[in-house]
Amino acid sequence: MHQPGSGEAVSFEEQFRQHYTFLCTVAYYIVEDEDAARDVVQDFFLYCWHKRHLIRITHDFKHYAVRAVKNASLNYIRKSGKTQLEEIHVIEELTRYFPLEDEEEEERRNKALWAAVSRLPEQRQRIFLMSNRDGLKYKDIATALDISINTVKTQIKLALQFLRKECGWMARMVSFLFFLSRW
Amino acid sequence: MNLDNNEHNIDWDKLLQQLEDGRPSSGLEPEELAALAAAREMQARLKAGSFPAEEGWQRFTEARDQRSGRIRLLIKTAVAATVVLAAGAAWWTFRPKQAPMQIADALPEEKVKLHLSGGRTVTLGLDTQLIQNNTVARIQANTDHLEYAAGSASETVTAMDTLDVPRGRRFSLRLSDGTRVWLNADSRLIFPAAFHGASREVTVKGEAFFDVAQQATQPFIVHAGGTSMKVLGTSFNVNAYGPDMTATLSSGKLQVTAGAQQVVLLPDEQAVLHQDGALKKQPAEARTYAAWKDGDIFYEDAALENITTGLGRNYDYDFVFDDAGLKKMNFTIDIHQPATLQDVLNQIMKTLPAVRFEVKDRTVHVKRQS
Repeated sequence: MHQPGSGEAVSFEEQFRQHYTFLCTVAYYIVEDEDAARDVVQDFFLYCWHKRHLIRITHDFKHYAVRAVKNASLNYIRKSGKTQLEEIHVIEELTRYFPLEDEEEEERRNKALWAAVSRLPEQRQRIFLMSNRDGLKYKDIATALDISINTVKTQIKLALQFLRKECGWMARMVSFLFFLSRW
Repeated sequence: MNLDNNEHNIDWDKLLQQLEDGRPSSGLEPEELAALAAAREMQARLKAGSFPAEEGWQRFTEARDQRSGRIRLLIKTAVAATVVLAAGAAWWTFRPKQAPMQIADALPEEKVKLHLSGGRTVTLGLDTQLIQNNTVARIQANTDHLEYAAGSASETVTAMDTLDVPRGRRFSLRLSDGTRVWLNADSRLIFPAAFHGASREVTVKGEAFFDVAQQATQPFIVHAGGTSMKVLGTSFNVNAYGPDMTATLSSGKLQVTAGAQQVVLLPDEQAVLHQDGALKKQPAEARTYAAWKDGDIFYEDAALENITTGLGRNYDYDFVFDDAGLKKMNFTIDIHQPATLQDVLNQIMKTLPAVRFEVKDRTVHVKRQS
């Protein structure tokens, strides 16, 4: 099926390109698996494509898409059978805090995070990114860099502590969670 | 209550394990839950690079064209979500494209080059190197400095050496007479390897700071942007990036000549050769104009437009004002030059909440924070 030459079809592709990356990070936050995140987001867009003549988004496509992808991601981990019910409950709680609805603020946070990452000492930054961006296991990082697994864990811990301190918004979220979890 | 310091309740071993296998347990302490949430959020944000839109679109179109109609477990959720959509007119919204976030931390691309009068070109900035050692001069360089020492020959040197400093770099040198010169980014100094004539003459393009060695019998003359500056022993800054030429005196006495016009500067005075050809003298705080040679970024009540021009040169970036109204916003900045442009941008955004910078490769877009 090819895109009809209408303006709407073109805008579908634009929508996809604009939001795909961000939606994948939202899905990843929940499913913690790159391929699963891609599948969830792709399925969402396939759904939109087939319903493109029916769906009329009221105000904001992104807002709608984030909601749908969050729900689909939670469904995915429920159905995958790998995650315990309590774990799902915790993850569900977490989804209240990421992402935000405010796009500008989202952008600021990404920027702030990358800037803070760039201020990490070289080795710590490398280890942190290998783990958190590239998804390598601690033991694989230890092997690759010829250091002990405990050094890897210590470096990641120090990086996380530093980044939380540097990125003020996380502190704000922390206090939210704190009160929430007392219930 | 300051929670970000409240980390003593965190069992990091347990947390790092849960972070690695993505399975958070429900028995977490509040602080642990908070730390886990922050860590997962960072992880998700850092993953953006793994999901390029182009790749996603390729994959999507393949799937769409192959298995039209077959949609997996998502449907149920999506249908549920449609319920919240109000009926009636609305469209796929057009929004500006959102590329993955970039930060301005690229290093300059070009290297500093010394073109010797004999035709040889040497790339500087690497290690310590001996470039030339003959009867005219001995030339040595290290990573950010060049030194000339006159040789035994005493004939006047007419052939010139040229030091080229590209955008994003800076270099200093000591000429054979002991005069010290700092060259700013995107600047050039043309000079003889040794000074044996009646005067010592050099030419500047861009910006340079001179600390001239005193020699009563041999005046030092700097040619820049349509002027010549004659000094005996003095230190001053020359800015000939254009369109105006500015010479600012830090110490001593400086005679500035442009055609038939002439002014004499005392410390903290400045000569400006305007585009229209007029040479004017005015008071100026010399430290402002020489700060760059000490590695400082110093602008006092300056228009953002001027600041970004300087920053672009210092870090080899281009600035584009998406909102022209921001160009004339004035502010003061006085910091030691950080390693990356991003650090300066962050400082500016902190000071000027109205301004937002968006980095795309080597271009920085200046936007209004809505």
